[in-house]
This record gives sequence, C-alpha cells and structure tokens, in this order.
Amino acid sequence: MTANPLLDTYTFLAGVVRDDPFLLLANAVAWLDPLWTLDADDMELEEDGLSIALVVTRRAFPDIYAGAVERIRAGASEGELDHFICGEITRRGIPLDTLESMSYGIPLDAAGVLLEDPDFYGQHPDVLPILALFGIDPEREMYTVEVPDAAYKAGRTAADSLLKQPDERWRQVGWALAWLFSCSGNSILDLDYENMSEIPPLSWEAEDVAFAVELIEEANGIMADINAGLKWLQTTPAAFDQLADNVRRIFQKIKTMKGKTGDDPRIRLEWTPVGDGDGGAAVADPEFLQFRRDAA
Amino acid sequence: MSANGWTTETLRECLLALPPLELKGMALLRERRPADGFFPAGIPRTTMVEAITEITAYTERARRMGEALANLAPIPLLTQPVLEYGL
Repeated sequence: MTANPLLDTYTFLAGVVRDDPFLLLANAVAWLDPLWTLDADDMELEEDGLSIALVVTRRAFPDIYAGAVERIRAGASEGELDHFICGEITRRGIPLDTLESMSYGIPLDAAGVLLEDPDFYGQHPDVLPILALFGIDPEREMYTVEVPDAAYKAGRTAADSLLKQPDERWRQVGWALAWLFSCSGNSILDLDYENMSEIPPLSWEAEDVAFAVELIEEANGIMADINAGLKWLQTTPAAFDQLADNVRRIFQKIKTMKGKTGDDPRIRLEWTPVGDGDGGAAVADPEFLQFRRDAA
Repeated sequence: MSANGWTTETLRECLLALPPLELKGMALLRERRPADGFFPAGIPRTTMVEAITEITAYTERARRMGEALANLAPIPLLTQPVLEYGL
C-alpha cells in the first residue's frame, strides 16, 4: 500500500524552498525578521506593549530585537520577553519598567519641584530649613504653598553664584538650589510631571535616543550632587549659616531694586571654605565684575 | 538605449549575472531545517543573534531601496512606440 501522496507534498515543497534562492530568502526573512514589513509609524497606541517594543527595538536597538526574536523562536513567554527588553533598554541608559510605556515615545522621569505643592514637602522634609531662608513656610498652608515673588529670583541668584565656586561642596549646594528653584537647565530636574506631560515626547529615533541617554545621565549626576549638597548643609551648621547670610543679603539687594523686577540682582557673594575638605578658594561672583564694568 | 550604450537587455543580463544572495539565516535553513517543521530549533543563541542582525540589516536596505525605486522620476520614452495605446 502506497502512502497518501498529499503527505509527500510537505517534503516536496520543503525541497523546492531549499533549492530556490528567492524562496529560501523569503523563508529566512519570515523566520528571523517577522516584522520586516511593519513600521513604527504605522503602529497604533492600542497595540500591545510587546508588538510596539519589537517594532521600536527593530529600528532603534537591532541587537535587542535580535535577542527578542531569538527568544520568541526558543519559546520564551511574554513575561520573559518583557523582562529581557526592559532590562536591555535600561542597561543602555533609558530606565524602563514596562513595555507599555514605550508607546508614547521615550519615557522620561519628571523630578522637578513645584514649590506651591504641599505634597512636595511631605516627601522632602529635609529641604524645609533651606526654603525657610527664602520665606517659604509650607507648614502654614494646606492646599497651596505661598511662594514670595522674590524667592525664585533670590534662589536662582544664589544657585548661579554657587555653581561658579571652585569648592565642590558649594557647587553641590548650588545644584540643590538650582533643583529647588527649577533652574538647573536639565528638563528632568526642572519640570514637574504636569509640565513634562505638555512637552511632545522624544521619539525612538537614534538621534532622540542618544539625546535622552545624555539627558538622563546628566540628571542622574546632578541628582547625586543635589543629595550630597543637601546632606552637607544638614550636617555642617557653618555652611548653613553662610548660606543663610548670603540669602539674606540677596533679599536686601532685591529690596533696593524697586521697579526693576526683570533684572537679576548683581551682588558680590562670598562662599568661604568650610570643614576639612580641599577648600577651594572663594571667588568673587562675575556679576560683581559685570556690575563694575557697567558702572564705569 | 541609454546614452552610454546600455540597452534593456544588457541591464537584464547584468542583473541575472549577479550571484544569489547568501545570508547566515539562509544557510541555517538549508542545513538545519527539520524534517517535520518549518524552522530549525536548538541553534546556539549567538548564532541566531548574528543571523537575525544580518537579515534585519538586509531587509532594511531592501525596504529603503524599494522606497527609492518607487519615487524615481518618470522617464519619457520619446523614441519608443507604444502601439497598444495608439488612438
């Protein structure tokens, strides 16, 4: 009895595919690059996270895509793929918790401060003594914290001066003030969640990915400085007193600038070395030199 | 015939003379295809990643080439009679 000829069809077709270069290429593409016809621009936000992640990684991280396809062919579960792709993208410098967050573009944290928000002070009670120097007292407020008009100007003036100091610890305090008064120059540190949401997200194009990695890396470095600066102020009363004295002088200067609300106060601030560190010499604030030049 | 002497026939012969493309994925399919399935299994991870990376780069090049061909400027055939559309 002969076998059903239909059963031989598969072997016959497999042989044809193997021997024909064009069919073999088509078969190899279907096996190893199943998403080759899809484009990230064609994807809808409603697509599931894994589909979007595969399309995005195919374009932005080909090696991660290759690893994901290899795992799909090896029978990996969706959870394993999620873990693999998130882990690999995080390792490249873009923290990613879930694949769903990829659909709107590169997810960026918003670590900015909204001084008017009472919840901020519950999360960061350590900054209360510093902000008190600027006339901010959240303990009296329940819904919206009142921030004096001059507080931002004074905070930015102090931060700007501190960031020019040779002493690393004073510069770290400068970053802490720059964060508190949203003038660090890094969007992750200057924007709160609401404001960040209003900015169109970065795409997964190579140029945007490189920019996001740089932005996140810089924010992480500055955040480390912020934490060090806050800790140093908490543990070094002499430094805190010096900051208080300079802030007081800035406010006095602002008071004398009646009617010049748009101008930054030009004042000579001195930040002398404190503690047992390397103690870089204090430098005169360039604003003062500018002031002298303008007066001449 | 083009200005440099190329005809449709010489172009066709030139393209047909190109050797068939050989990618790692094609070699794997040819050598490791199972008798009872479409795709090979049990291939080392590094080999698979190499094959996928190569074929992804190829399909991207092919896609871009297709887009470029689709956007070629039209070439007027001034000396070519097209009798089918004669009025």
